[in-house]
Amino acid sequence: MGKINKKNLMILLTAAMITLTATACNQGSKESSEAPANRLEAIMERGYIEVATEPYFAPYEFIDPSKKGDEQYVGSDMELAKYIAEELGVEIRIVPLEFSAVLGSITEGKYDLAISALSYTPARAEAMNMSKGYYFAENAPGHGLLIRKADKGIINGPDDLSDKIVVAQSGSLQELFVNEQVPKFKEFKRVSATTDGFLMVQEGKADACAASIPMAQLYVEANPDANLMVVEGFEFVMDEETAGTRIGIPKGEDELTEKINSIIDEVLESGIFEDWHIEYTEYAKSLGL
Amino acid sequence: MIDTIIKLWSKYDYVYIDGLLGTLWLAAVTVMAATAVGTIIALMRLSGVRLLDRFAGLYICVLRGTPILLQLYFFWLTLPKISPITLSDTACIVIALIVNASAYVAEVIRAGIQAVDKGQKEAAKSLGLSDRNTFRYIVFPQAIKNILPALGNEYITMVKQTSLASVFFVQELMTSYRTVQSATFLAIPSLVIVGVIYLVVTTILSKGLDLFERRLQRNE
Repeated sequence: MGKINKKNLMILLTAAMITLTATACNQGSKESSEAPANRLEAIMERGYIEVATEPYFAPYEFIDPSKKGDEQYVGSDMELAKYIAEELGVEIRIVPLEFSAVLGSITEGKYDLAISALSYTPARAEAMNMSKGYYFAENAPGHGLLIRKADKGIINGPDDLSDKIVVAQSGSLQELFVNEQVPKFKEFKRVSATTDGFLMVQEGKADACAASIPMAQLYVEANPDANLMVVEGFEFVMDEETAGTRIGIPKGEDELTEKINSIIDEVLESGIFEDWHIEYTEYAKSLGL
Repeated sequence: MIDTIIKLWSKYDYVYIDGLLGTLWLAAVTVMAATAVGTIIALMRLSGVRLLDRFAGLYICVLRGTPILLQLYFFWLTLPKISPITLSDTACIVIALIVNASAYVAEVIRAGIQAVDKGQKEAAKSLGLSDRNTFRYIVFPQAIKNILPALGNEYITMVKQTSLASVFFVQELMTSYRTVQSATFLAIPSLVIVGVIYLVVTTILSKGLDLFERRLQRNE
């Protein structure tokens, strides 16, 4: 092999140093580089708030492909995100991600808020701060089961799943429901997006998908040929204390959590979220073929 | 089914085309940058300097020994923490793809250089050529013939690999599939459209590569 002259060697070494620093230890530098006392101040200082969401969850958050940039992310949660940004007097930046990445980005403190139809689960409350509930199931359908029409009368609730394959989104509230409220199932499969779960039921790869009822209803209506339905008269039992859709906030950011909670109080008082929800349910229907 | 596909395409064709452009751009940038980084890594391996050789070996070992999706997550989470300038998610993903590909490219280049017959070098030496000139006039021209087709293959692989970036919503074809699927709740027709686009692109690329390889052989 040919000799490498000194100049080349220097370049090589510099490259090696760069790659080494890039791949070696990466902790600790965060704290020292941040001047503001907390995240709320940091948000105000930089003038924008970054909101992570999984935009495959109509009518909460979904994509209008005919639009560009942040405009394309629409839904009731996105309205809430804009409302929060307005209240804080900062700009909004939507960060679309897969669901598990949404959760991961908040526990890692990568983004400011997760507004992605999050429900309370003990594991989530452990890993991040959770806001008050901003949307409650009392006045709207909660979480149920999506099945094939052929199984109507056969699957009436969680007790009928002992020889069935159940599917739910990984890391979701529905996953917790299946674990806690389905006494017996043949197999429990997990998917990264709820719509993949619907698809599995549709294609016979699973028999029931635990999902939010409004979302399942939208899917049923968009795919009349799929012969799917939501089990009537059944909803998973929600704990009083843990009811409500919430916002995820990086752990320990109590000032930000307080601020978000006070904004949620306003939203609850005006009842504006319900209006958004109705508006975007119609919007989502209009996007289909 | 075909009916739905046609309707889907006529309503959302621009989403798929944007995605295709994104995929091609990502693959091109990744392969070009990875070639540069990979060359450095390969030269380190072949340098004969023990420290450099060890480092390059470790670099290749780690990057080829862990799944690319893991690397994407890792870079996506850790890079912004150590970077002095703010990096967008897309930038993190592109860097991760480049670093991953560079390990493979490094091995392609190393293998290409080492595949040149030893006798060639010995002959050059016995004719009195310096090490440098041996590499420049004897080894390199032969090695490049081994390397280029393999790099082309790397590009084709990259076109498909970039689909993993859809987890982070980088604009590319698989993200287009998800976008349309989430808006219309139609999965299989959208998958078919994206699948056909991938197939067309990779077929054109591999046919092009075939032609190129035949041209290289003509000079043999």
